[in-house]
Amino acid sequence: MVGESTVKWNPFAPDYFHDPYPIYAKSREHNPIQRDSYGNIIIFKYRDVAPLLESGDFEVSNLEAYFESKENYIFKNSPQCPFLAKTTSKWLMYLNGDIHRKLRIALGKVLFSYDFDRLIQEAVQDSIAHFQDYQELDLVDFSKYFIFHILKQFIGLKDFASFEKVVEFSNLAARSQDIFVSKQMYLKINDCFTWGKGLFAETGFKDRLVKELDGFEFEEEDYYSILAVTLMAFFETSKDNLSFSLHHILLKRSLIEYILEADAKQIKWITEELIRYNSPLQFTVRISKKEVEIDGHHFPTGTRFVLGIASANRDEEIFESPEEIIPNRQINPHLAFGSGPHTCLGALIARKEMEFGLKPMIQFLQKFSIMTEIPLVWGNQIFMRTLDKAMVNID
Amino acid sequence: MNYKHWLIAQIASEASISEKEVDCDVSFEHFNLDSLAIVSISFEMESEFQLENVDPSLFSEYNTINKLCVWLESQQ
Repeated sequence: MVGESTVKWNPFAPDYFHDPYPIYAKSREHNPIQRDSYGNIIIFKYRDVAPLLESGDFEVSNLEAYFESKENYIFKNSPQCPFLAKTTSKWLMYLNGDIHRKLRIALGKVLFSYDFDRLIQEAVQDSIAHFQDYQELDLVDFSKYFIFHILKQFIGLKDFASFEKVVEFSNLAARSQDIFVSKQMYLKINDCFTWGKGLFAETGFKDRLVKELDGFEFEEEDYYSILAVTLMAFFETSKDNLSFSLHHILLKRSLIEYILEADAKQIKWITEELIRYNSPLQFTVRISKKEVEIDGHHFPTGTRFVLGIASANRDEEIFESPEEIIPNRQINPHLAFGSGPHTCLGALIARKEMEFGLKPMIQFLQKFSIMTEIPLVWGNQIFMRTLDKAMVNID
Repeated sequence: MNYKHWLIAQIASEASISEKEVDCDVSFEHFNLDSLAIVSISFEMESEFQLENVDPSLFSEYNTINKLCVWLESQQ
């Protein structure tokens, strides 16, 4: 029966943000389908998560509708103008049906009109040159700097869109999708969405977007919504994946040696393995469009399922030694980019960032060691796991 | 710190009712507070009483103002 076990996923437990994987493992073993106190069904096993991502019986949740229903409450005693629903209205991962299909094709065309191979390789060199003389550095800052250098080359940022502003915008946009977010945080996010309009230039990405979306009858705020989600999706998960990866690699001499000696195929293997192991997007949500049955449990139409992607990616039924990074793991059907109609549009670019970046970055960073006296600082985020600080120095 | 007075004011504000209408022995469910309201009160509790990472499920376990006051007193 769903929810009867004493093993319960609780993101408010001490140390959860530092390491959520022990409770994922316990949940897979003892209580793989849980109901929380708000009626959400949380699923932890690969065999339940993977088919659900692919199935046409489920759709993504509607973030815009959620904000529309809550704006009266959130802004009750606030002078701010509500902008949460508007800004999230064209976020691809919360759209279903025809609009999702058409917008995905258009956005894909614009995104892949850029020469990412060149942009990524230039950003690798820029980043290494920038940190060349550092005696100690934060791997999170290094990763942010690298991703920002790719981003600013294609998305079209105004001169005053500083690195810090983009970092803040990206993080708050990511937080807008989390669960258990307070109205105080939503007000902060709303403020960010308001000033964020000033980040983007008219030329470049937006220009191409307007041409590609000719006939959609989109308004200015719709274009802003697409720019906002592109920035967040591009920056946040790539930065998190890279910072986790660099930290794990520098912790283990055998991984450093593997990367330094790897050929292109071996780099692809470890790229996939790190993405599986890190799973920056830990959960995603699907809503049932009809009555469904999972592992003998029946759920009515409209049930909200929280899918444990990160848990599925460490499922011992699918992955041998799932808690280890095995650099040459060759069968690796991970779900880190999702699966089915909402597979991450930027997956190819995320892979290229690692494939072009890992070897030169590790060649540069191998002289640094993890500063074990300074603990890692993890962000308080449930859906999109994020590392705030990971210090290394030269011995 | 008067926990009860603070909680009454919070519940009244979140449920858009007067403080006089807040009964300290009825379940929070009675006030029709959704998960967003519960999380928001938890957030306020953290900053008001210098608590760390308040679990919103507290409102299920200590499901009245009087019960939650007992929990708050135990934290100080």
